[in-house]
Amino acid sequence: MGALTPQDPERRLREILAQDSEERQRIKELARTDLREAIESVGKLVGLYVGDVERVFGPILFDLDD
Amino acid sequence: MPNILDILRRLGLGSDAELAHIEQELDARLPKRERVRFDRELERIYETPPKITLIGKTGVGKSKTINALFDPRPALRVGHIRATTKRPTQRVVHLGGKRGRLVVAELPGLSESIRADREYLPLARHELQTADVAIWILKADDRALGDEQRLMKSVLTPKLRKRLVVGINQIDELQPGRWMDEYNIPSVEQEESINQKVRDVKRKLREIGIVPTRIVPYSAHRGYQLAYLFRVMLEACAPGKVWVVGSREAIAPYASPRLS
Repeated sequence: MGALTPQDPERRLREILAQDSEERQRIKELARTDLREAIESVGKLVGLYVGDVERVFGPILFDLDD
Repeated sequence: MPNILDILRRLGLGSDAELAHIEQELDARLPKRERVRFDRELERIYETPPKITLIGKTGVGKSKTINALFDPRPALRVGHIRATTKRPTQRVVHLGGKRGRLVVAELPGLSESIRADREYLPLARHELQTADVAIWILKADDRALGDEQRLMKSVLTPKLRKRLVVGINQIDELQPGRWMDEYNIPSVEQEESINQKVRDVKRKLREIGIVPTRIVPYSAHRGYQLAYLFRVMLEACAPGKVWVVGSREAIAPYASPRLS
């Protein structure tokens, strides 16, 4: 956390808001990775393999640039 | 019952057009029977409510934390004078709208008496073992952590420590300093006390051989740092349950600080 002086609560608030938004993004990312694994696992049961899952869900669940 | 598209929507993943495309692709690739089975299997996992276990001394804000994180309907009862939870409870909590259910295992406040602890500690061990996420809540202005050290040493097995989040609640009540209501942030003095508190908790946990990796200072009452607490909870969550807990995310709008 950056040094805070009594004069700059607005700056601190902006930092906190940015952190908050970052946390929400990371929540989404953690859930997305775990859901992808669940879909791959359930997909196998019905004949939808990893390559199919990637083609169906594309960038919603996969980082296609990797 | 939610299907895969509902689940993706709930997690904020994909636009309407992308979701429509997924539906078409699934229909095209899977025979109808298998398509139904695919949705059913994911629904089954989604509908199995994740279990959140809260532990901590009496009065640390266990019920209030669940209320602030998940906004259950009706809200869990919060006690102000006497301990509210007198015996271990495992409640199925219904969240608002179609957000699903949650099992909240709330242990009675520990350290009320030696006799009560003798009864509750084995229950605490049991509850924690079956938790998808365990939160050990401390009260920020409670400087004496001897009781917690004893309890943690007694309850936390090495396996359990991996699923554990230590939450430091009520940071808005730390002294010296005053909560800045107009911004909903701690004052300079409180920021310093929060950092000190986190260092102190880390040190005291190390004294009993626990290397804490997840310590979150927050205020359930003020809705402060709840997104941080939620994210750390997901990191501690058992694989396969992360998305299920994540889909229950319901950090209310009031939880965010505001910019005036």
